[in-house]
Amino acid sequence: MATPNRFIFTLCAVSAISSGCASSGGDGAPATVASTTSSSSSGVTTLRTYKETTLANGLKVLFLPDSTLPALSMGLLVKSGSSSDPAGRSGLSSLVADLLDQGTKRRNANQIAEDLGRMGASFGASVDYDYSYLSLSGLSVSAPALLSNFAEIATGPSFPDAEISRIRKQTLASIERGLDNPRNVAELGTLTAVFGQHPYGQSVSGSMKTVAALSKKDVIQHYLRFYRPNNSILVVVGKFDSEFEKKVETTFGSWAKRDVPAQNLATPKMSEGLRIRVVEKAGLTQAQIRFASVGIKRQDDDFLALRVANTILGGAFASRLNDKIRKELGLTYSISSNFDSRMERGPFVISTFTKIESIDSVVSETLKLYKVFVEKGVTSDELNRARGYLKGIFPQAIETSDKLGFNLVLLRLYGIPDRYLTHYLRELDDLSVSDINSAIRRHMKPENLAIVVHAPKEAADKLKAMSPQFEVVPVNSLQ
Amino acid sequence: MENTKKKKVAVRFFARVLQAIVASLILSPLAVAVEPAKPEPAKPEPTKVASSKPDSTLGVRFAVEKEVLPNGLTVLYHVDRSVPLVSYHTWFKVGSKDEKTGLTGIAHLFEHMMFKGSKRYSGDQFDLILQSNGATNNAFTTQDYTGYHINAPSSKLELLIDIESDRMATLKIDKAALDSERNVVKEEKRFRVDDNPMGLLWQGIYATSFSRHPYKNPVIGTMEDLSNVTPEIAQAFHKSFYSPSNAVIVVAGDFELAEAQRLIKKYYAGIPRQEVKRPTLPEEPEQGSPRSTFIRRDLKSWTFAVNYKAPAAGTDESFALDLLSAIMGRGPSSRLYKRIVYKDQFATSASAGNNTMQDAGLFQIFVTMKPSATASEAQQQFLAAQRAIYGEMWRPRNIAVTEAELERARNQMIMSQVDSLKTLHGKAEALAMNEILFGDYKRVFTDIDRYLKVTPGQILKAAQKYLVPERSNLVVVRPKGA
Repeated sequence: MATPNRFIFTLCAVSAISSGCASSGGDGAPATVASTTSSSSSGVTTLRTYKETTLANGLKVLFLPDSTLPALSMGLLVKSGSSSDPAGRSGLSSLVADLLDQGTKRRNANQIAEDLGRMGASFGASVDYDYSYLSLSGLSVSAPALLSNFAEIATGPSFPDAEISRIRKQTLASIERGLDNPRNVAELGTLTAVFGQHPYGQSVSGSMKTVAALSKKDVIQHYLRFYRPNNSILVVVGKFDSEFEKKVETTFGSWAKRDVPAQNLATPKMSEGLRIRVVEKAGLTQAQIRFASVGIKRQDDDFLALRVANTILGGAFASRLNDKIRKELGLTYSISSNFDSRMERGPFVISTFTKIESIDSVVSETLKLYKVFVEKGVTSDELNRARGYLKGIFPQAIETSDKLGFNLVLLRLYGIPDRYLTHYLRELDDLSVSDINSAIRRHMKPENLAIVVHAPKEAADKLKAMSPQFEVVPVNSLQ
Repeated sequence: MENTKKKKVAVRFFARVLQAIVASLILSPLAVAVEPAKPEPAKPEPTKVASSKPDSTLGVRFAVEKEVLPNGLTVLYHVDRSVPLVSYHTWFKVGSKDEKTGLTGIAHLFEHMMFKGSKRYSGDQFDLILQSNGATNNAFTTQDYTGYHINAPSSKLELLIDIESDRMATLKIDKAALDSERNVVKEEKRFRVDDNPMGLLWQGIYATSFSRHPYKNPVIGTMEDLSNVTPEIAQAFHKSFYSPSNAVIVVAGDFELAEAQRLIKKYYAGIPRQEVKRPTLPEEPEQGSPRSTFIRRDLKSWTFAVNYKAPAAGTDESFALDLLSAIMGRGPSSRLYKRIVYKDQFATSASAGNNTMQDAGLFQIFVTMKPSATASEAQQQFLAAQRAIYGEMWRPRNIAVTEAELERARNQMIMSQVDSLKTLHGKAEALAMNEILFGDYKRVFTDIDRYLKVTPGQILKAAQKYLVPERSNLVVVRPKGA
């Protein structure tokens, strides 16, 4: 559990609480944004060289050579994630991703694990609302084998019955176990509180009911529909030569293209008023608390202005929320805010926790602070400090070729030009206090919030007076 | 997906939030320690390690300059000008094992106080100034050491040196700040331990496995002991352990060596050396019989760990056990995964790790069980999983591992090391840890060779010596009732 917390994509994807991941999550490019290397005095950054090509079958391929370490990694982003799961079939994208390395036409699950293990390589597959991402990393001495393994897993899974049934049971167990983790429960409770029946309201892993119903037919159909070269981006990072690049192109060049159905994701709507949902569980000593609403799309013009605003509110350690609730009042170990900007309007969430005796103080202090923040806006001092911070961490964010590669892939997913990275410093300089404050007023609505509290029922009852929209649900209702 | 990444240190508590721990419950909690090294007699140091590669193409080498100031402060410099960043680490040889009775948790609470103001940078200026200069920072406390680190644009190096030297020399403990931070730490404890099954498990592991050595105490402390810390006690703690002679600084990144050395001297040379009053630690007696602890909470499913007392960091045997832990429980091609998760399907995860600390080690196996329909079925499943584990643990004591398994484990170790050295921060951390634990940062360069030298016979011997029932400690976090 070492590791610098702030810039780890994989962790950010799982966790919304971290201040460091503020505004990353699905939006990719941004939070953890950045590029590396030289920035001229004009505020324009030159990115490390990379090569981009599109194969005849429509697969976009990015090559980022880096021979500083004897390592090689490949990532494949499929531009479909859990929001493409059909109604009543949530968890399908995840199940498909989890099954990819559980058998191909040539090898079974154990053989694949064995072959990867022997090289010291590790395969990962993760799913977010907007995309699925497969990755394989290993030592560059094994480059040819890494490539053939990756291609076989990504393009030739066989979905054996036994593995489907095994992984499905495993997933069901994990969903149920997840209720033992208070933070996970608070996040599940927040999903539906904000998004209702919208696909963003479903858990990426699905529910016990939907996962239990997933069939082999669902899996195969989903795979054949979305796992197509013309719906994917491949990124290759590390120590390799041009010979290897050709090999990548040939290997993935034989993947068959097919039209992929367009996704018509509705725009999530914000519901009115202050709504309080208590997810009750006896015995907890601490309450997990979320204040959540519908945020913005990654493509929103206010994206960067809100990133600055969020840094000031609760996106960094020295921020209004942390200064007040943690440093001044000592009521929590962590409070942070985050815009998770996606293809459609993703969530904006303030996350914290406190001993059950202080639930009402934390809720009222946080609400008060958030209201003042929106009404009065930020000051020019705050803007300067936030700008200094964001500009300073910019190179860290893609210090390594792996980080740069992932950023480039996400930019392509969301249709954002590289200009976002190359002109990031300049754009930050160009933002004024009034730009920030009008973006805040456009998108932050303290009067329309879902407040989710995971705590023993009696402890949360004190909040009842705050809103007529008050409900208590048992923890098991979230499974 | 099984997370095959291992982390270096088992339990760390941070001044800031660290997500990793929390996200782990479902995915793979089982971050376990591994940071071996060896007990070679210290050789006179050439101050510079050339960046030449060793024979193997897998080897990792980078240039490091070591310097010890007259006040005892050790400084390591690694210049890498490829990115305009610098990673600045300040580690102290003090951890929870150095705490007095009645003051558990002080090392970590004190770490929080290091952010609350010193002479030139008072109050909350520390965070504000660093942040507005584009720096990120954090700190952590373990049983053996405490580390502070800042990553920043390289143009800010002098600021980092100024601000870090100020709090090393002139930290102020203010009563109100201490009271407030104590509450913050209590919230951290509820979050990481009291309401967190994995946190409870880890706490139970140390409490069960150690009977006398202070490794038995929770790093985060007890609520009572946290309440015992007064400003005077905290100030005395600073005087006892935050002497420059008890610290290692690592500067890694984009800077001019001579200039960095000049600045280090300018800011640190005047800090007087303090006498470090390290307590004599009670020796942990040989464990003669298996122990177990059951912790009951309102939970859906069982989680358990089997912990064998094993050798400390740096020993040859710890390298052998590191490799065996990978063979037993690292990733989906490992023995325990294949048996418990894949074949028997009792568990959502099964993994192993060799957790090496300065004075002792633990060879650990972690299993997260699937929830069961009834309490008695859960009990049966747990017993069956436990039998399967003990059966699997019989094998390495009696049958040597195969060359193929060993090769896989070695490759995994090399891969982890390569991964951990991808960033400046990772390099600085590896250097600091080796220098702190062994007084020899160069061990980071010899780890791979030492893994390559381990034979199946050595693994067999280490397993026979350490992985025996008499040295085992079972800790179970389970649902209430039945």
